[in-house]
Amino acid sequence: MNRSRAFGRGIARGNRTGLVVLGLILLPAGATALARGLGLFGATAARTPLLPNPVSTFAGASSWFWPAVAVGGVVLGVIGLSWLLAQFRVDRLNRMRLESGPSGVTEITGRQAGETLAGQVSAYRGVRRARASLRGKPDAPALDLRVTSQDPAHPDALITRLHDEALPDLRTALGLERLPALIRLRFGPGGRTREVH
Amino acid sequence: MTTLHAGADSPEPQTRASVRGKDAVRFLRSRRKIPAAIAALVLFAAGLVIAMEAISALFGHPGRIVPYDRVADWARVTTWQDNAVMAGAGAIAIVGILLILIGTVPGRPRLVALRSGDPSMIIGTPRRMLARVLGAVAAQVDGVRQARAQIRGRQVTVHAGTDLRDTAALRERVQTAVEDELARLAPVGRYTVKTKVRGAP
Repeated sequence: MNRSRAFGRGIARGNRTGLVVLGLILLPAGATALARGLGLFGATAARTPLLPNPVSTFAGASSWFWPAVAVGGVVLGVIGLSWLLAQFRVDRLNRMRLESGPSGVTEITGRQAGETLAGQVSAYRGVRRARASLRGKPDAPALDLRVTSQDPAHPDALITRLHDEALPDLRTALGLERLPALIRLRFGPGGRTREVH
Repeated sequence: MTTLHAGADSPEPQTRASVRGKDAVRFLRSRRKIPAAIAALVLFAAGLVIAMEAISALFGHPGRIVPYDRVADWARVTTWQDNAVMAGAGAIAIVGILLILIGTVPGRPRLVALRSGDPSMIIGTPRRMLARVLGAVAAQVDGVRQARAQIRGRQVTVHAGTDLRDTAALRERVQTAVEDELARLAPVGRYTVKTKVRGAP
């Protein structure tokens, strides 16, 4: 799904899949080792050493054992490193083509579009601050908008305004018919005024 | 699961809106970045150590980081029913179970999804903010001196204080006001509202 990947949900699915796969490897491994030790595979199996002699001599004698282990280690390390680096990837859409008119192709950076929208929304009544960034790919962009409201907040009015004004403006500016948007509303720290009647 | 609908302006039939509501909730699930980072780091370190040990064994300098000879000697002598081995195996199995759980359980919802009637607009707000908004709505009802709302799970509890004696009618008005606002905001999930009013003694 385009939408999932655009909002950073891809990393959610990848992470969870990776964790489950790892768990599905460790669980049977640990369980069978435990079962073997408890004698569920027979009493003799429970009393054999972890590293039986035949295996040990085989490893020493064969010429491909240690290289294979080395390759396995490298593969494991690469998997681990790429998974780790994937956590830090920033999913910001930087360049977006607009129309290719007679004067050539107009490009707008995702940052500009985001800042324009954020400025527009920040000026709304009841909004303390807004931050917007475009994510995803140029052909499948998505909007990530964070709005910090003043206290007290009227989210339904704000949502209506976003839906009727701000988002259509952005879509027009980018020349898009549809733009999936993730909007996070929150209160800001400090400056809490409570209404007293 | 039927849910409160956003209002007359959304053209979708209720069932499709509910399905999209569930989609929205999925977007706001925890991404499990920290467990994944830890697991990835462990894999990276393990791979590195294994590769280094194997390469140094090839070149005849065994045991750079892990004293391989000592480990091999220990493994030649220790059996599967050794206590340490079984404890280690059990620990590995438990870690495996935990990883599966962490990967499959949705996790604590950090944000409440609000329905917007537009499927390409997903709105999330922290639960505390939703409670604050409902509390503010309750506080604006005539006769209410102060009000506060708490959301635990799917249950909204409104505590209101008033100077009036007749709390029953006020309770009705507060309940209606909060339920109306809840219907307007249309969070995904069926929320129930309980109102408690403390009047003048």
